[in-house]
Amino acid sequence: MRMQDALAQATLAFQSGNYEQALQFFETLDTTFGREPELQKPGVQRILLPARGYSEFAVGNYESAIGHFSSFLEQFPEKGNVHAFVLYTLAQAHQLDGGNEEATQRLSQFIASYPESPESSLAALQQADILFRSGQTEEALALSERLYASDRSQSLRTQARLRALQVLVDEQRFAEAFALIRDTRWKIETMPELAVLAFAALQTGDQLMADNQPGDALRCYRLVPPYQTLLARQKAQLTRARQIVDYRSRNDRSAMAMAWIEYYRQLAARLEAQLQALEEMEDYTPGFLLRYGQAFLRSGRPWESILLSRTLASDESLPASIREQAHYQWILANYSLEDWEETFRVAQEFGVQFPDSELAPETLYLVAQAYQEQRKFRSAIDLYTELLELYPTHDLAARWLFTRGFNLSMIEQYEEARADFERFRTTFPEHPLGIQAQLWHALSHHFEGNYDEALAELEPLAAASEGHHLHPEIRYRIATATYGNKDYEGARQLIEDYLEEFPMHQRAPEAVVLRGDILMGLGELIAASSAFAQVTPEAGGLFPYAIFQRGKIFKALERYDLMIEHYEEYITRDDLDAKPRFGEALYWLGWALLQSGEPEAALERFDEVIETTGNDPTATEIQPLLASLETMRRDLLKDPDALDFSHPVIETESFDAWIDNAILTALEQERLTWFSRLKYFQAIRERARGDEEMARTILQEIDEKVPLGELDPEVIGQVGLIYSDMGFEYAEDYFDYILENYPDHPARAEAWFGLAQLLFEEEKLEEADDLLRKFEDQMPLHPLSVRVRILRGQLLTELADFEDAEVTFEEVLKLKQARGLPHAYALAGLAEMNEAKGDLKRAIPYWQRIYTLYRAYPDLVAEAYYRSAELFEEIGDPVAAYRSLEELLDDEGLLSTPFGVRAVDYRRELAETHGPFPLEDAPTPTDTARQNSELEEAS
Amino acid sequence: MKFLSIPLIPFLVLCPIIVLAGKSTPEIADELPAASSLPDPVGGEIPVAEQQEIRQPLILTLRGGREFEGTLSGFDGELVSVRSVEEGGEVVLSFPSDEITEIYFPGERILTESMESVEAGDLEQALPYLEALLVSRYPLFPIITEEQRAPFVKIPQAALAIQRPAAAIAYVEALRPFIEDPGSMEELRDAELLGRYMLDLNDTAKVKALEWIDDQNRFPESALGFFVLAAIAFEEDAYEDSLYTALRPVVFSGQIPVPYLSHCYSLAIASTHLLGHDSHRDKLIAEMEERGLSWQPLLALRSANEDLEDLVILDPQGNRLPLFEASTGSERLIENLNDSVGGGDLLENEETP
Repeated sequence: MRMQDALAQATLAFQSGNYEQALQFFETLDTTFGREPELQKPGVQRILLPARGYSEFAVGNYESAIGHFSSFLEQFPEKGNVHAFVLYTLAQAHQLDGGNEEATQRLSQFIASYPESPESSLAALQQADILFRSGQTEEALALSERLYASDRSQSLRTQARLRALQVLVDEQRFAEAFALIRDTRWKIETMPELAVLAFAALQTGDQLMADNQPGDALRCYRLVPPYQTLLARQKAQLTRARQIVDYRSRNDRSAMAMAWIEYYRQLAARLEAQLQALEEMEDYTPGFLLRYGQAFLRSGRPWESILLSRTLASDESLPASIREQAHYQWILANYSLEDWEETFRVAQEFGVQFPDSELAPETLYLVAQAYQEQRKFRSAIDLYTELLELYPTHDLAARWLFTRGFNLSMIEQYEEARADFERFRTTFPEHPLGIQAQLWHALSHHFEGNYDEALAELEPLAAASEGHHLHPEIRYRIATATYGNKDYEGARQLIEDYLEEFPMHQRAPEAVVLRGDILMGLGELIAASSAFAQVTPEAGGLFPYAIFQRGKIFKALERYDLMIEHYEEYITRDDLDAKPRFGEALYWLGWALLQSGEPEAALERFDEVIETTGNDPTATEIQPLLASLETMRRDLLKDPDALDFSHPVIETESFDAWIDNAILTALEQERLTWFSRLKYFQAIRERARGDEEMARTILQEIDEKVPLGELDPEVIGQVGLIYSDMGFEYAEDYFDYILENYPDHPARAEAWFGLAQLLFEEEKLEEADDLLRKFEDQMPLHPLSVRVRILRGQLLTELADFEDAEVTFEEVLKLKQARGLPHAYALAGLAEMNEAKGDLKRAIPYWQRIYTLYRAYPDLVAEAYYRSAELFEEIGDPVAAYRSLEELLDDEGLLSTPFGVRAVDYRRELAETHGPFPLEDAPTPTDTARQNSELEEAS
Repeated sequence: MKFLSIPLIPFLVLCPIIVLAGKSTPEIADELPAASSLPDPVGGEIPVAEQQEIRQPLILTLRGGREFEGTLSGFDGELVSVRSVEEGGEVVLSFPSDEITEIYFPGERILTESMESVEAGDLEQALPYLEALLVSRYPLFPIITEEQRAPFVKIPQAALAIQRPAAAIAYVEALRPFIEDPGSMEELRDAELLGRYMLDLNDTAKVKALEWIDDQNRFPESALGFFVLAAIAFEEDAYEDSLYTALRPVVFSGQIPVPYLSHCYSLAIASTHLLGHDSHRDKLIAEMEERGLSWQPLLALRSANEDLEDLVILDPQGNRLPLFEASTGSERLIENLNDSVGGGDLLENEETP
C-alpha cells in the first residue's frame, strides 16, 4: 500500500466515525511509513495528529491521545478551529486519564485562548466539575459563582449553580445551599436536571424546618414538583437530550461539535441514571406534602396548611400513617386559626378514624385547649380528667393537671382547683410550673376573699421565689391581699415597696392605681387623687379608670369646680390617640356644671355627648344622661321666669314629645344607635309603668330596625332576654355577641343569665350553673339577680338537691324587692320541687297560693290551676281536680291562656274518666287555698 | 344520484395541501351543522381579495383518484353536493361522503397565516379570517378530520379577547358537538367558563367552575376554574370562601407557573386584607413577587372598592398599582389561556458552536 492510500483510508475511516479502523490505518502509516519525510511534513502532521489523537481518544487510549494532541499543540500553537478542538479534547483526555490537574490547566488554557467561544462556558463548567470531584470545593464554588455571574447562556449558568447546590447539600452546608436556592432564578419549566434541584431543595427544606426556619423551607419546598410530574418531565427531558445527541451527531460538522455532543451525551447519561433512580424510589409526594403543610402552619399560614392536610387526610389511597398525621395537622391548623367549632369537628373525626392513634392524647389536649379558649371550662376540665386517667404517665400529664386546676379556678371551684395544684406540687416537685402552681393555690384563696389564707401562702412563697420571674407578681398579690383585708396601712407600705423594687414590672401600672385605691381606703382623698393622676395613658384600660376615680373623689368632696376642671382637661387633651369613655366624661362634666348652677353650660355638654357619642355603640352613660335631661327640664321649669336661655328640651311641650321628635330625627339621619337608645329609654319607662308587653314590643321594634353591630350592648342584652325567655335558641347569638365584643360591659350580666337559661333548657346543668355562679359572684346587686336565684332553684331541683332548692326559693320569697311575679315564680319553683321530690300533697298548696295571690298574671294563674288539678287527680281526688278546672274555666280572663285552652279538654277527660261530678255547695279551691294562705301567713 | 365525468384538474397536482376525509372520521354529532347555526361574525370584515380566495371552489377527490371542483351546495349526512358551472349552465353533483377521500378547501394560506397570528398571541387579528373560513367549512365538519377542525377551536378565545363573551359561548356550542380531541375540548370548556364569568352569569359560571375543578387532578395545570370561583365568591362578599379557593392553586402549583395563578394571588391578597389577616396578606404579596408573578387588577375587586382603599400594592419601582379595573374591557383575562405549562425545550437554551 502506498503512503497516500493509507493516509486516504485512515482519513476516510476517521471521517465516517470508524475510529478503530482509522487507528489501524494510522498504525500502519506509522510502522510502514513512519520514517518517510513526506509524513513528517507540517502539512501532513497538522491533519494526522488531531485525527490520530481523537481516534485514540474515541477508543479510550487516553494516554496515546494525550501524546498526539500535545505534540500537535507543540508544533502548531497558532489559534484556530483545530487548535481549539485539540486543546479542548486534550483536557478531556487528561480528565479521563485521571490527570485532573493537567485537565484543569488545559481547560484554563482553552478559556484564556477562546474566551468568547460558547465552548469556554463548557470548559469552565467542566473545570468546576473537576475541582468538585477532586475535593477542591471552595475553588470549585468560586469558579461556579464566577460562571453564574458571567454573561454566559442562562442554561449553563444555571447548570453551574445546580452543581454547586448539589455539592453544598452533599456536604450538608444547608445555609449556603439555601442562599443559592433563594438567589437563583431557576428556570424550572425548562431545566433538564430538575430531579437534582428537586432533591437538593427537598433536603435543604427539611433541614430548614429542623432549624425552625419554616418560611425559608417553604421557598425550597416550592421547587419540589410532585413525583409523577417530576417523572414525566425527566422522561421528556431525557428524550430531548437523546434527540439532540442524535441530531448533532448526524448534522453538526463544526470543529467543536464533539464538545457539544459529549456534553449532551453526558447529560443524557445523567438524566437516565436520575430517571432510573426515580422510577425505583417510592412516591415521595404524600410525605413531602405533609412537610409542606407543616411549613405553612409554622409560617403562620394555617389556611394553606388546611388545604394540604385536608386533602391528604381525605385521600383513602394513602397509607394510614400519612392520613393520621395529616389529620392531626388539620386539627392543629384549625386550632391555630382559632376556629374552635371546626377544631372540634375535625378532632372528633380523628377520634373516629384513628381511635388507637398515638396522637390521641395530643389531639384531646388540643380540644381541651380549644374549650378553654372558648371559656367552656367545664368541658375542658372533663377532657383533662379523661387525659389524666387514660395517659397518667404521658409527658404532658403535669401540664394537664396544672391546667385542670387553672380551669377549675376559672369556674370558681377553688377547693377542687387547690386539690389539683397540691397534687401537682407533690407529684411533680421539680416541674418548671411548680412556683406557678403554688401561686395559683394561694390565689384561689385570694379569689374566694380568704385573704388571710392567701397571705399565709403568698408570704413564704415570696421568700422562696427570690429571683424567679414570678416573684414580683407574688409581691404584688401580697399587696392586693393585704388591701383586700382592709389593712390599708400595710397595703400602702407593700405597694410602695413593690413599686420601688419593680418599677418596670407588668403589674406596675395596676399597682399605681391600687395605691390610689388604698389611699381612698385610708380616707386620704387628695393623696389618692394625686396617685391616680400619676397613671399615664400607657396603662391602657387603667388610665380611664384612674380618670374616673379622680372624678369620683371630687364628686365625693363636692368639689364641682375641680370636677369640671378635671373632666374639661381630659376632654380637651390632644396627646391621646383615643379617649375612652369620652361620652361618660362629658356627661359627668355636664352633671358637675349643673351642680354648680350652670344649667346652660351643662345642657351644652349634654348636647355634645349626644352629638359625639350618642350614636357610638360603645359609649356608656347615655341612659343616665337622658334621665338627667328629664329631671333638669322639670327642675328648670319650676321657675320658668328665672330662665335666661332656651333649649329644645325646655321649649318642648313635654319630655316625651322631645323623645318622639328625637327618634324621628335619628331615623332620618340614620343614626340608628342613637335611635335605639331613645327607644330603649321609652321601653324602660313602659317597664317602670308595669307595661312589660309594651316594653318588649319596643325592644323587638329596635331589633327589627337596627343591626346588631349598631346596638348598645345593654339593648342587645335586653333583646336577647326576650328571645331566651321565649326559648328561642338564636338568643344565644345576642349573648355571644356581648361576651365577644363587650366582655367587661355590665351587659355581660344579661348574657350570662340568658345563656344560663338556654343551657338549662338544653339540660346542660353544670354549664348553666357556672354562669349563674359567675353572675352571683360578680353582680350580686344586679336587677336580674332575683331571676338568677329562681333559675338556680330550678337547677337545683333538676339536680335533685331539693334542700338547697327549697332554701333558694324561700330566700327569694323573703326579698321585698322580689314581690310580684318573682315571688310567684318562686312559689311555682317550690311546687315543682315538691313534685320532683314526690311530695305531691305539699306541692298543691304552692300552686294554690299562686292562683290565690297573683291574679294579675293570668298565664301563671291558669297554669297553677291546671297543675294543681293534675296533682289532685294523681293523689286520687278527681273531684278537687275537676273543681280546680271548673274554677279556671269560669274566669274569662284565663280562657285564652295556654293552660286555659288545654283545660277544656282536660276537664272533659276527667268527666269521662271519673264523672259525673256532683254539684255541691262546697268551698271552691280558691276559698280553701285562701284560708290555707291566711293560716300560713298568720303562722 | 348523478355522476359526471370530468378530467383531472392540473392545479390539484401542484397543491401540497390534500385533506383526508371520509369514513375514518367518527360520527360525533346527531344534527347536521349548518352555517346558519353559527353566530354572526364579530371579528369584522376581511379584505375583498381574501374573501374571494375563500369563496373559490373546493375540490373533492374520490376513491380511484377522480377529482371534482365546485362550490358546496349542501350535505345531507350522506351526500355532498357541489355546484359547478359547465357549458350550458350550472350542474349540481352529489357524491356519497364515503366515496370522498380528500377535500381541498380554498384559503389554506389564510388559515396558515391566521394560525401564526394565534401562535403569536394576536387572536384579534386572526378572528375575522377564522370566522370567514369556518362559514365555508362548518357544513362539512362531520366528514373532515379533527385536525382540520382544530384551528377553529381558537375562535371562542378570540371572541373573548375582543370582549364578545356571548359570541364566544355561541361558538363553543356550535363547535363542541364536532370536537373530540381532549386538548381542544379543554380549550372550549375554558372559553365557555370565562365567557359565562365575563357575562356575569355567575350562577352557571359557578357550576361550570366547580365542574372544571372536579376535572382537575391534585396539581392542576391551570388555575382558571379556581380564579372564576374565587372571583364570584369575592363579589358575593364571601371572602373566606374566596380565599380558600384562590389559595388552592397557590398551594398546589409549586414553582411551575400555571395560567391564572397571579389572578388567584390577587384575589387571595385582597381577601386576606378584607378579613384583617394582614400578616398573611404581606406574606402572599412577598411570595407573589418571589415567584415572579405580578399583581392583576381585577374587575371583581371593585365590589370591595371602599374597603380596599388602604391596600397598597407597589410595582418594582415603588409606584402604586391600580387594584381593580374600571371595566370588563380592560381586564387581562385572556392572555393566559394559551400559555403552555412547561414541557421544556433544551434546544431553546442550547449553545451553537
